[in-house]
This record gives sequence, structure tokens and C-alpha cells, in this order.
Amino acid sequence: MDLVLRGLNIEGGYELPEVYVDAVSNVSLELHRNEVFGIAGESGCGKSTLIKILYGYVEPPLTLKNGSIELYINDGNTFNMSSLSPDELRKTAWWRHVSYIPQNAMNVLNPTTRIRNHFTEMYTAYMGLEKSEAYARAQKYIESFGLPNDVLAAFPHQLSGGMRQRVVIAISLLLEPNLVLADEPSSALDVINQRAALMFLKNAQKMFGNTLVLVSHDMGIQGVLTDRIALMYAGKIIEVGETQAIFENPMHPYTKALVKSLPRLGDKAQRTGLKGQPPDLKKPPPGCRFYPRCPYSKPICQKEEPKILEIERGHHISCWLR
Amino acid sequence: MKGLELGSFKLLAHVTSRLLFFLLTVWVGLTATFIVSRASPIDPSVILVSRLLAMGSHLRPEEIFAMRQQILELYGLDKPVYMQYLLFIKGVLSGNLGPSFAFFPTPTIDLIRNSISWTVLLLGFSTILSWIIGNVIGVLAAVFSRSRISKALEWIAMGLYPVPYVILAILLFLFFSLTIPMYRGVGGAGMVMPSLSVSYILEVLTRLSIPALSIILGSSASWFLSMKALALSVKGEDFVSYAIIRGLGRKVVTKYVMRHSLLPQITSLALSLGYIFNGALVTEYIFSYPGLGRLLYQAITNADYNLMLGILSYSIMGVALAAFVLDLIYPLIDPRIRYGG
Amino acid sequence: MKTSNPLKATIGVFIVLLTFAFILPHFAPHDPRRWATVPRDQPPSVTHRFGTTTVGQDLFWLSSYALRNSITLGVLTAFVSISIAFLLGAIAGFTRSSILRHTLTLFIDSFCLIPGLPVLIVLAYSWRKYLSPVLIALILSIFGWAWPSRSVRSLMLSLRERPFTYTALLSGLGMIRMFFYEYLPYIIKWLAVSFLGLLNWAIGMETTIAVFGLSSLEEATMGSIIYWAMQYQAVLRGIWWWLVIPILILMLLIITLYELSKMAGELIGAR
Repeated sequence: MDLVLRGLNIEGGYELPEVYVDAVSNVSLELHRNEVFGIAGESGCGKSTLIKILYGYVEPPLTLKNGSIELYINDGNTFNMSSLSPDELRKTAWWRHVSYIPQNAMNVLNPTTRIRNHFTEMYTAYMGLEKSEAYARAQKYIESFGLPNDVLAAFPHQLSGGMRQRVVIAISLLLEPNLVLADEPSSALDVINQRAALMFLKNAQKMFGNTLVLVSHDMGIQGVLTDRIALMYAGKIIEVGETQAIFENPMHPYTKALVKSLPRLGDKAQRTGLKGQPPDLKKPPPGCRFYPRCPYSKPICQKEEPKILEIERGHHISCWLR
Repeated sequence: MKGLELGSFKLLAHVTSRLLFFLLTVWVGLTATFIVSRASPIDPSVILVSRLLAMGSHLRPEEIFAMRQQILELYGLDKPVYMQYLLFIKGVLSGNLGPSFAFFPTPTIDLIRNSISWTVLLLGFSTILSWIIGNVIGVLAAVFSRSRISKALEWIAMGLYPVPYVILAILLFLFFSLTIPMYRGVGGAGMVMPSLSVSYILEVLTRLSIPALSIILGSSASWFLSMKALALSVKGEDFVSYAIIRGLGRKVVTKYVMRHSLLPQITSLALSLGYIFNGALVTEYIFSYPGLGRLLYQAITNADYNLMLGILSYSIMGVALAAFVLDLIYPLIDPRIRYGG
Repeated sequence: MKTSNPLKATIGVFIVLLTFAFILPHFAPHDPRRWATVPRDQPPSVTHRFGTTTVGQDLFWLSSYALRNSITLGVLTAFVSISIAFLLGAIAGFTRSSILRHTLTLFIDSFCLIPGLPVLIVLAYSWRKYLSPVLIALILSIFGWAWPSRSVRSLMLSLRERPFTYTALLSGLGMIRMFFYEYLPYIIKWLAVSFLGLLNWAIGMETTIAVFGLSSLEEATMGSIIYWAMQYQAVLRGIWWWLVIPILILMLLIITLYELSKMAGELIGAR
């Protein structure tokens, strides 16, 4: 089967003391085998929350209100990520079939533990290996990524940010999962290390042939690395399709503005940005959430949420303007 | 010690700064002792003489005069202040503090030496035990923060924590003296001669157990509360949620939280030693435990001013030293200091 | 500020204790400190609600009198200690000079480490003749300031690093105005929590010194009642109320103060 994950009508958000923040609203998507799928959008649009929900890491105050998420494994098994508890997921799907590279990945390593222990404890937990065997495997594994051997003996603070990032990426592929969810895997790095980390990630994806979901607000990165891309705004997916097609011919007004704001070689026209702010998700507006900033809006946009249209094969947008 | 890179700058900086702190603490403490002893309205020589007369010794006026001179020399009261100060420091550091007034002419250092090992035993035993108990239960309470036991423990700890050591000691003393008739006798026994026999060890343990319990009750509650709060905040850190995301079970996560929370608790322990020592002193007195606390009380009732000063000086040095030793252990557990980066 | 049942209960107990300490003494039929004013060693009854002591004092009136002294002594200690603590800790936290900050920090920490009890005992012994609750309070303050000073220092350090400090300074807001609007809530919270904590500590310390026999000889404090009860072997002779009742009163006071300080910490924090 070509499909790796199907999410339908996902609704989730944060239960705060007096209010509910509607972070992910009626999101549906499909992920295919051996592809790099990007999720783009400005900060606060809900992409990190969506990733957490897809992974099944739903801890209070985050709640999943509605929706189904099904993960399809090579051997025909299906995991319902939305109905299993974190404890059940831990025993079945996590890391074996889907792994997660969290935001701020540079700081997720345990400061008082050596790198090699990060690997050996995984081998021990998932394969029941003895420490010496686990250590040997960790060494081979590290080498296969082209990382220097002495990385294993080091403590996290002794490594550079870029190196730590690569270690975290390597850890995520340890059990060769079908699906890897990467949340802003390079944002905290400088430009040079960014490129190295992303190339590392892309090469790993090619090597293992898994599905990589790349969450990033950086459209430049999305354009270079992804096969397909979904754009999120204020908790909703407003456009999804092949990256090439979307960059060449953005349909949704928001995507248009995003693409226009990117610098391009040879194009000397002035870059324009969008005025305004995304809506407050504690009290989301009734109609299209992009309405206040949309230069092409019609009266209906304010009243009703737009339906999802398929413009061409595989290219969907959520807008009234077609 | 595998791979202890002594060349690490951070390690050197750490040891140096703690050594400086140790010296500063001793200096401040001894100076305070000196000031207290000199800026007081009493004349130690007068105390000694009246003490001896009260004990019924018959002294001729010349002998009294000679004795007063001896004390004046000891305290250097005929010399300028700065000389007295240096004499005092020299005396403390060389272990020569002069005679006890109550047990004249036994040197105070001998009396202190006999009692100090008892105090070290009580203090060491109770402090280590309560630190371990409080911290371990605190971590577990944080990891299982939603359980009822965890909340119940918190209530108990909050009831014990604010109670001063003196009151805990008195309450326990009351409880045991009323419920275990045999116990009433244990307190008042005199000095016991050390030997390597089973009966001696049993004797020590019997004397040790209840005072230790008293200190442990109060201290454990304190460590429990601070550790629970600390561990809860560590639980929210990125590397802990990453461990959960990676699917490592509760045991590994607890280990992560514990390792990380223990570090500030060691620093905390090093600084709290003075406070715990205070508690040990009064507990020793209440239970007539043959340590410095009981010795101090005897010094007070016997107007043994010199002994008081001696106990004071060595208490300060002992506590500062213990804190320094703990500070040296810290890098063994925190790799960020051991291997600078 | 939400008032809930535990808060109301705690404040209620506190008010009862304060009434017992400050209002009741005025109604005492005689000076409760004087010996031989009532029959000795009487257990609690209707006429002598807390019983009487071996030296012929009514424990009820004596306790009320002593509680007043203990609390006053504690308040004075807290006041002096907090002033010193704030001065030193604020300088240590706020100063830009790293030499000054490090030196002050080491100094403050050394006072935290030094075991205060032996020092206070020798001091109290030396000044035995002149010991009054006021003098005791001053003596206790010599060490009381140390730990609160540490918390003020870290409070100031964190306040100084906050963004609004820089923006306030840049936008021309005067130092004093900034102090009041931005810092004051945090400082008030620290003051409330530390004051109550110091009060507790002072009462505990005074009791400890008293048990060693070094509290005020003329004035009665809760600690001195306990001392005399122990000196006269009260429990062994069956006069248990002489020891148990002051301890219960003390524990009630201390736990109430602790709860109040915790509530102060939680409630004042909510901006």
C-alpha cells in the first residue's frame, strides 16, 4: 500500500484554565511512502501541535477533540494513533514505526549522560540487548552515518549544536521507522550548520526510504527539500500539493503572499510582506480565518468556512475564490 | 576514576572557588568567635576563680593571683587586640585552647575530642540517611505526582518540616520515655569506654537510634519537599519529554529526573550543614547523647567559658570542612564540571 | 484573591493565637510570672484551665504572657533580619560589579553555613545578666538575615535580567518608577513569605536557646516555660501539662505561620 498515514478531521488544542485554544482545526491529510512531506506556516499556525497529535504524544493541556489518525505499516498492520494511549503507543508504534524529532532538538539530550548511553538505552529498551552488545551496535550505527566515533564518548555539552542535531536525527532512525516527524530540525542552527543538518536528514531519508514529515516556517528549506507540501494557517490546512507546483503557481492568497516574499535569483522586484496578524485562536472567527488579511476577499469569506477544492490532481486548497 | 581530565579548567575553577569559600567561612566564623569572646561583659579569669572556689578548693591569695595571671596570658588579655586575635587563631589551628574551667586543668581539646566522634556519628548517620530517604521518596512522589500516596506524603512532610528540631526532640523524648520504661535509664549514663565488642556496638546503636530518628524525621521532610518541587520542574524539561517520546519507560525517566535533581540537592546539603548541626546539638542535649551538644550544656551549667569557646571554634571548622568535602564530591557526579566543555 | 476554606481556617486560628497572646494578658488577675500565686502542680481544671506549675504559677495566664513575648521577640528579629537581608542581598543581586557580587555572595553564604546555635549560645551566655527579649532578638538577628538574603539575591538577579528592566531603562522610565511598578509585587511577595519564615525561625531559635537555659530570666517566653518544666522534671513527676501544653501552643503557632507563609507565596504571586 502506498499510504503511510491518513488523518481525518483532526481537531485538537490546549485546555487552559478558562479557555480552549483551537490550535488544529479540521485537518485531514495523507502521507505516502518514500516521500518528503513539508508542513509550512508561520509560528503559531499549529504545525507543531499537529505533529504532536500525529505522533500520539497528547499530554495535558493538549487534548485531541476529534479525528482519526491511522498509521499503515509495511506488513499490513494498522495503528490507530488517535485512540491509543501514550502507554500503549510506547509499547507498539513509537520509534519502531514512527519516530519524532522534537523542536529544540539540540537541547533534548540528557546533559548528564554520554551520547553512547542515549543509544544503548534505546537498544536495551527495544531489543533487550546487553550493554556491551548495545555499545557495539551503536558504534557501527554511528559510523554508518559518517559521524566520528568519539562522539559516543562525549557528553552533550562537549558537542557543537550541529553535531547534537545530527545525533538526534541518527537516534530517530535507530529502529528504521516508516515515518519520521521532524519539527523545525534546523531552526536553532546557523545557516551553514542548518544546511548540513538538513542534507543529513534528506540523505537519511533516501537511504532508508521512509516518509519524512518536515515542519518548518522557512519556505526556502521547504522548497528545496520537500516533494509535497501543506500550508497551515491559524490551525487549518489552506493548501496542499506538490511542492514544485505550489511554488510555481500558488493558488491560495496566503500561499501567494508567502511565495512572493521569497527572494529569488534574478528577480529584482521588491519583496512585499503581508500586513496584520493571525487571528486569536482562543476565539476563532466564524468564516475563513485568513479573511482579515486577504486582499481578494468576498463577503462570503467572512461568514462561512471555505470548502476544500481539488484544483488539479493532488492539489487542494481551502478557499472561496475558485 | 575513568577519564578524569584534571586539566579541565572548570574543575580547577570549581575546586579553587570552594576552597576559597571554606577558608572564608572559617575565617568569618573564628573572627566572630573572637569578637564574641572579647566583646562580652564577663571576665573569664574571674569566672575560673569563682568556679574553683565554688568547687571548694582552698586557694591562697597568691595562688589565686597566679591562676588569674595564667588565664590572662592564655587569653592574651594583657596584649593589644590584634595580638590576642592572632594568638587565638594560632591556638585554634594548633589544637591548643587551654584548660577547661570545670575540669581544670584538663585541656579543653581532650574533652572535645572525646565528644566529637559521637557527634560526627550522629550527624553523619542522620544526615546521610535522611538525605537519601527524603530525596528518593521526593523523586518518586514527583514522577507519580497524581497518586494519593504522593499527596498524603506531602501533607505529612508539611506538618513535620516547620517544626524546630528542639520540639521534635522533646516530643520524641516524651513519647519514648512514656512508652518504653527501659528508655528512661539510657540517657543519663556516663562515658563509655570504646572497645570492639558486640556489646559496645549495641550500646552505641541504642544510644544513637532515637536521637537519629528525631533528626531524620525533620530532615527527611525538608528534603522530600524540596526534591519533589525540584523534580517536578525537571520533569518538565526538554530532555525528560524527549525520553518519554522515545518510549523509554517510567524507570528510565525516573532515573533521568533523579540524576538531574540530585545535583542541586548536593549543593543544598553542603550549605545546610550548619543548620542541621544546630539541630544535632540540641537533640544531643535532650537525649543526653554523649556528643558536643551535651558537652555544651555541661559547659553552660558549669560556667566553663573556655570549653564553650573551644566547642564553638571546632564546630565552625568541622561544619566548614564537611561542606568542603561535599563540594569536592559534586564534580564526581556532574560531568559538566568534571569535563568542562 | 480567592478566599477558600483552608485559608479562612488558618487565618482564624492565627487570630485566636494573637488574641491569646496580646489581648488576654491584660485580663490576668495577677502577674503570671510570680511564683507561689496559685496551688502547685494542679492538673488542668475549670479554675486553672491549663493547670499550674511546680513553682505555683497558673499555666494559662503564664502561657498567654509568654506567647506575647515570644511573638514580639520573633517579630523584632524578623524585622531586623529582613532589613539586613534586603540590604545585602539586593546589592549582591543588583550590582554590575562582579567582584562586589562574588564577595558579597561568598560572605552571605558563609553566614548561612556557619552553625549559628553555638555562637548564639556563647553570646547569650556572655550577656546573661542583660538578656531581655529585645536583646535576644538582636542577637538572633546576627544569623537570621543569612538565608533570606540568599533568596533576595536570586530574586534581584532574576529581576535585573528581565526584559522589562532593559526596556524600562531604555524608554526613559526612571529607576524609581520602574522599581515601584515592575518590581514591587515581587518584592512584596518575598517580604511576606520571608517575614513569616523568619518569625518561625526566630521562635524556634529562641526556644532552642531557652532549652539550654539561656533565655531571658525575668521575662517568660514559651521556650523558658519549657526549660523550667524540664528542669523540674515535670513529666517524670507526672506534671505533664507543664511541658506538653506550651509545646502544643508552639506547634500550633509554628504550623499556622508556615501555612500562612505558603499561602502568601501563592496568592501574592498571581498578578
